[in-house]
Amino acid sequence: MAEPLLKRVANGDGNAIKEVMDQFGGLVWSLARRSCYNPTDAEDATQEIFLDIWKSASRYDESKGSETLFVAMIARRRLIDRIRRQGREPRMDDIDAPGFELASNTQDEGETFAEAALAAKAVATLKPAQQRVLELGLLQGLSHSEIADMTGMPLGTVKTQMRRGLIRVRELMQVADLADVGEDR
Amino acid sequence: MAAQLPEDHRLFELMAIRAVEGLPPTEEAEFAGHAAAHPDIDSEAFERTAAALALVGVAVEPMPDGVRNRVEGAARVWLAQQAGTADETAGLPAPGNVVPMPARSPRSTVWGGWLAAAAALVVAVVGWLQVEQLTDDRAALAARQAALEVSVTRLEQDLDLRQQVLAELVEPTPEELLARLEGRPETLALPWSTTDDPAAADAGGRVIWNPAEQTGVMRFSGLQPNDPTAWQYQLWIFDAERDERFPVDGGVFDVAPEGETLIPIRAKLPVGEAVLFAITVEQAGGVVVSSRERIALVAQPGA
Repeated sequence: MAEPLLKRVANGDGNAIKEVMDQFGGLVWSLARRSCYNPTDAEDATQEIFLDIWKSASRYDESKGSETLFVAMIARRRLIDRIRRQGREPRMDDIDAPGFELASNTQDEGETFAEAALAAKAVATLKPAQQRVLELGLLQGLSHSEIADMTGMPLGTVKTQMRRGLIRVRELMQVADLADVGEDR
Repeated sequence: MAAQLPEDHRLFELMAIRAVEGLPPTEEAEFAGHAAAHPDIDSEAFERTAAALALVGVAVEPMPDGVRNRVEGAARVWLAQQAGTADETAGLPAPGNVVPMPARSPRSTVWGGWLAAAAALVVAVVGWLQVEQLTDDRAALAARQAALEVSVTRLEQDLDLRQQVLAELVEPTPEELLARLEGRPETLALPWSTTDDPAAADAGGRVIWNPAEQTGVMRFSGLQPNDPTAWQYQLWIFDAERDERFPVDGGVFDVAPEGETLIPIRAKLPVGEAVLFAITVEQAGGVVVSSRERIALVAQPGA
């Protein structure tokens, strides 16, 4: 079995670094563009994300998810960090963007987004209010306070719904993973 | 069957906040403390779940070449720094070079062994932390350097653009203006006609006027030099679209004692159709409405 790309990066393989850009460049750039107000900011963010990916590559654990998921996690972390540093509001022009259900129907097929499809299915099983909290927080990038302002829910309720929603989605994704393994056998 | 998460509500709450909006430094430290106390909990679990959900519906567009080049540049810097760090570690003394300690009593050897091991562990951890910190600092500096280089390039481009704009704003010399206007099909070139005024007795030259640009140049030869403190010449442009009594003021000017004089025309109002250019002699500073007592030169299209 081939060594994971990120492990090769961690070992200082220069070719692997290039391959990471080939494989995840579009994804990182697209996530940055979705989060940043202008292309210049997105360029800075993209470079920052890749630096963090290379630095964090040694911590990649393939038992916990795909490399795509790891890259997306690092990207989100850096983008959230940039929003905090800049003290700015998240982009609000996507506030009427489709929710998880609709968005999952419009996304590309393929291994790249296998975990996203699982997550979208899991979200669909949540209560509507919980779905809404997750959509606002994770698709639209609103903070808990902003979600509370927008929905009229108490802040504590928003936090609880978010936490329970994430736990539930994670559990359902694990179940689906196990089911897939069972089917493969 | 789904794996059950161990109970630590505060850690879960911090994990959720961290996954959605990030944590301020104080809560980040609190999170690190909780995470260290519960190594059995996957403290990045919610971040991964959030990342999976963030991937829903992402329309992947290719990374632009310019961005790719920039990231590749940062990659080269980072790899070079990694190699440098490795060199530094390679410079540490090899185990074979360590001078053996003298033998001690069995009791002290046992304790000494533990102490030496503990000390070695502390040194290793501190060393590892320092190398990690150094690597982080270098990577951060590399990122900042790359960002600064991009900023400098942008500033240079802005400066070039600004200089171009400034160059356009700077008033051209009469010679430059003349060169620009001459030869254009819409430019008028009218010879001056003298009058009986003594100032123009030996005068010649012509007026160049471009109606599209609303600018022009007057060329004089042999026009009497003036004393700017006592009197000055003033140009008037008669416009077919305006009352003949109120020609457009074309500006006050002086004539130097020697050689040919080139004077740019600065019309104070837009000129529709210039039908006559007239040079009058006026008091120093010019006038708003000329008495037309002394008209030195005139130039007229079709004359």
